[in-house]
Amino acid sequence: MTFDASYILVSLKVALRYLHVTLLLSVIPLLAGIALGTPIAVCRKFRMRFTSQAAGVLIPTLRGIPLVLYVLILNFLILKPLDMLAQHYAWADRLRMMNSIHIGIVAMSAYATVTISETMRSALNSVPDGQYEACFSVGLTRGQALRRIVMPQALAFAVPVLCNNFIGLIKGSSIVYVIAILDVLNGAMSSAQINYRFLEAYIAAALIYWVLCISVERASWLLERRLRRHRAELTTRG
Amino acid sequence: MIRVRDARKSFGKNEVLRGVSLDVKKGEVVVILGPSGSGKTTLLRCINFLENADDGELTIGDLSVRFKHATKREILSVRRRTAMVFQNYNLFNNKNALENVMEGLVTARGIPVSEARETAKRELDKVGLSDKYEAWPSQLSGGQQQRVAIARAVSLNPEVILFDEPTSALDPELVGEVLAVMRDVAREGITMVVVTHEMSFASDIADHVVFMDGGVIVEEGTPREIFTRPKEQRTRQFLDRILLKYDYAI
Ligand SMILES: Nc1ncnc2c1ncn2[C@@H]1O[C@H](COP(=O)(O)OP(=O)(O)OP(=O)(O)O)[C@@H](O)[C@H]1O
Ligand SMILES: [Mg+2]
Repeated sequence: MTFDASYILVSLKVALRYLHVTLLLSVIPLLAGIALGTPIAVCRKFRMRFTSQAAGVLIPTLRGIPLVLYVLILNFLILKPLDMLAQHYAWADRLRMMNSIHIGIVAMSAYATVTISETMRSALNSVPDGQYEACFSVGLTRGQALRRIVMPQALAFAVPVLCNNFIGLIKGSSIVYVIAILDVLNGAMSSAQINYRFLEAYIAAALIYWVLCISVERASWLLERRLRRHRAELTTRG
Repeated sequence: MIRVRDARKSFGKNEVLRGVSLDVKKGEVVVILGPSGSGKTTLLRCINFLENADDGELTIGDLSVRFKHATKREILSVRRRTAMVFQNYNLFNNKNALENVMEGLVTARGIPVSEARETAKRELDKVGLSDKYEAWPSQLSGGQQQRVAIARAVSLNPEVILFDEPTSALDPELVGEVLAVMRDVAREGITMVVVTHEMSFASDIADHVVFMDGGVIVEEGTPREIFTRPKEQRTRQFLDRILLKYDYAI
């Protein structure tokens, strides 16, 4: 069978029908990771009792686990019991399908939280202590210092790394084929299952991931420029 | 009026403050001298609770706190009665000059934005930066940054401003502009505690000079007493060394 570029289009069409799944599996975990990872980073930065100790043990441990295991383990822990329930009560197949997407989102979010808490921790650490001291010296509380001065600066440091985290999530989300979720990759593959044009299907999927990642990178570049405009040439002078 | 009683502070086994007592009257300028490592910075940081002293007592106006037992609330009210000018300026990097001055007024003091903006402009004008309202810290020279920092401190109208070697990080040609601004601040009758190695400046503006060494106050008095007839050997040695080094005539 020779290579036939027109089959790329065929696969693209099918794969694009599942674009929203890939986006759900990466955008929601990104947001969840920022929402949950940032407070964890703050607790560790300020050495809050209990939380920071727990995070100090958990995060390095969880960071050593590959994404595919998050998906498999959470699938096992959540879906199997649900599945049994569903069989018992004879729920529709469709419900089970939705569930596995939810599992995928939960697993990706857990993974993203671990990754992004580290991103935010190093971003927080890159803001000099002098910034906190200046805040305290004019009478700001710790919360005000974080909100008004430290976080905006930390975010500027974090944006390029968050962008990388996001790209990692987009590409990593393709791993959900192990729990049979139909996303961009699996969608493209499903068309090849009919016409046996596997290479064309792979290329179609690659094209979609590529466009997604390029767009994220571009957006991040613009955002970064906006956030950093005040530190044009912030040198060692300060 | 500021009163420090028997302040003590150790970092691990290193006893940095071994019972320092200091009185600063309202409107007075107190200059603290001393060799490197004598605890000058630590003393200022304890007064501002940037460092938690192990023992001693602090009075600022009608507020008295024990260093060891200060509550969060007391710490905040001490900080809102004091202001600090740092060696490295420490301007807020994500705020322009005007916003740097406004931040404490608006966020800490709850002053309306429009009123705070007027105050901030007035203070920046006073330090000669009326054309730099919108400038980011990264666009200002060291001397300009330090003048913004002084405007930020003065605008809060604190009971005392603590200066920690405000000119040490500056290129020599920028030192003068910052000292000039500090002279103005002193002339306004604002209470100041200044750590500096600028001897001629110290002898000019100080009402009271304190010499620290090894975590204690070795000697204190008027500038004339300290600079022209120091009683203690250590003071004399220090002055000889520093005057030689900086080649200043007093
Ligand atoms: N955060 C800290 N942790 C541990 N040791 C510290 C800390 N801050 C200061 N020290 C130690 O305390 C001693 C006094 O330091 P301090 O900065 O108060 O001296 P200084 O009189 O301001 O000196 P300089 O003229 O060099 O600024 C030094 O030995 C220093 O190493
Ligand atoms: Mg010092």
